[in-house]
Amino acid sequence: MNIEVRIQDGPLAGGAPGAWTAGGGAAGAELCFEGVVRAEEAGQRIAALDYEVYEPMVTRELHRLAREVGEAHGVLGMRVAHSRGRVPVGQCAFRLHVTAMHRAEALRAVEVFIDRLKQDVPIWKKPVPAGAVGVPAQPVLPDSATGPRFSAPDEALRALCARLRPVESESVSLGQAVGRILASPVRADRDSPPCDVSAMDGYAVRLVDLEQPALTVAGEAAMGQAPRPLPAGQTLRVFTGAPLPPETEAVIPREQVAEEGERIALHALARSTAAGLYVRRRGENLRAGELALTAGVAITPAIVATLASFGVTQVRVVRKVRVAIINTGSEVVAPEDHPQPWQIRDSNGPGLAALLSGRGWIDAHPPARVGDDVERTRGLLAEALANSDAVLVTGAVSAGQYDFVPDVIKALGGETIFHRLPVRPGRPLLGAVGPQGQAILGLPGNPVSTLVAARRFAWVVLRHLAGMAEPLGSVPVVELGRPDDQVLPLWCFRPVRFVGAGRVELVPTRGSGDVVALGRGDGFIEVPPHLTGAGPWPFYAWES
Amino acid sequence: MVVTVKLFGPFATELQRSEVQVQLAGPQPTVADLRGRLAAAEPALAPLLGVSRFAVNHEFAREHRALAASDEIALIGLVSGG
Repeated sequence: MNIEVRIQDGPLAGGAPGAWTAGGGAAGAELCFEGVVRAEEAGQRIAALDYEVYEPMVTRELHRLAREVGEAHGVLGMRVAHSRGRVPVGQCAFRLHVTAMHRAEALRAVEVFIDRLKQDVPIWKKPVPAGAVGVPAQPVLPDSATGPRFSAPDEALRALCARLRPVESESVSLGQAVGRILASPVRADRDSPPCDVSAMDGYAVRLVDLEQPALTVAGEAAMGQAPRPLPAGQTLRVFTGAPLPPETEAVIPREQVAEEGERIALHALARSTAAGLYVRRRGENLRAGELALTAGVAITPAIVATLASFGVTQVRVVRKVRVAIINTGSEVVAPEDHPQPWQIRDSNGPGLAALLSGRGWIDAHPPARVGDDVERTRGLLAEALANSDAVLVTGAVSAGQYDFVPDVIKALGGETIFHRLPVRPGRPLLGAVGPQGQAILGLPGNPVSTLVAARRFAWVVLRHLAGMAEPLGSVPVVELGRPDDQVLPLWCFRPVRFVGAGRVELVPTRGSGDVVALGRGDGFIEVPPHLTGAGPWPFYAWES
Repeated sequence: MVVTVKLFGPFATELQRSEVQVQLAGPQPTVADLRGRLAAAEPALAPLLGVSRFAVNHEFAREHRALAASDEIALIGLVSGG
């Protein structure tokens, strides 16, 4: 098989397919594919693409790929050319020329080769925005069009969170700690339990004394009092949780003895008691100084109990995360207003406020409505950034004429980490870092998109700001009953309701404006691109 | 042992550099060790490291591949040729 590989600076000149005779007369098919730079990249108008090529690895990989694909498909020759550096719109950056005996193998080889090229060959393209051609290289703000492009929700979230520092900690009394996030690990201040204690109501004994048919009861080990000594050849009456003298080797349950005044007779079962039975040893839960709780967990009632048992009355917790909500849209009126048919009541503000309410670690400001007023949005966003750790802006985040939010964020010194993700609903979603490290999320304005994006994305970012050890959390999975056959090249968030334990069904919906369907679901499932069927799929509940 | 890792595309943009030096511990560090150290040393790269490969001397390397100071190492993230 004849293979040629060429890397060329700048655009590839016009090819002359007929002039190449790799097949030496055996060829019945000559196929030439040309990749041409389009005027749009990731939704942005561009003037050119800059190709970065890692040599000599690219030449080597292209050779390997041509040989593998060519041999697998029985072609006679493969000729590959790729550009390096700047290629203007409309010009050719990649050419693949396949010679084969018949068209079928040539067509297949082209398809497979290009798929593999896009996975394995270290070439990177970088868009040159329209109007920038000829201008010397300049730093470009990381944007989805120029910075990393994310193919999965969690990837984008990790990139954003990597740029955000959790807020500082503060001290609260134990009574105020439930629902907050523990900011420091907690160590045991003493052994748990702090001395040997009985696990049963019964009698403390030494094993050697179990040879005797009966034992004298020397006294009681009472709760809340220092343990009294266990005399040799005798026993002490003990209660569950009572402190035991260190010489105790086991506790015989009351049920295994016959009580006769101040003496007990041992049943046969009691005679075979093993060392340590029904004795909780000092420090068997945890030794003094060992780690009882790690930082970054939400404080539950159970954790409050643990903290109390280790004498922690002032708890180091993460300061509440301050969140501002700004809703754009000139069509939006207050829920208590009487809207005209061309107006809608604001469901995003109350929905978002409700999503954040009742969380002990969030301090959400009341939502603000700004219409489509760019200056007002800018003012409110600046104010929100000054007073908050995170700002959620709804609407005006796509690429339309009235979609001013991305520009306002940039103008205020925000740095966009992602804008537009392969998700539905919520595709225009924007994640940015404010000038003082605040989180900014631009949520698409359709009611379903807003709430879904908030639950799936803002939620994780807020958990990260709150110092939670696992911001992504452990997401439960559910089985989808009666799945439809929708398959999309996107991550799909689909409203579902429970029909049994761990089983859901789709809620019929008319799309991202369908607030009726929104309210009929228990949450949504996340179906990755190109997949369909029963799952199981990750489930995000409205109630969590 | 210190190795130099070449950066391209989004990684280079992210760090504003075309290569990064990484200190590796132990007598026989591997690609897996490098991945871990790089994630710790450059947190900005960490999110995409999981979906990236390393090339050693111009070939994609497996995780257990042992590294030498003289190797040419490149971090190959998501590529976008064609």
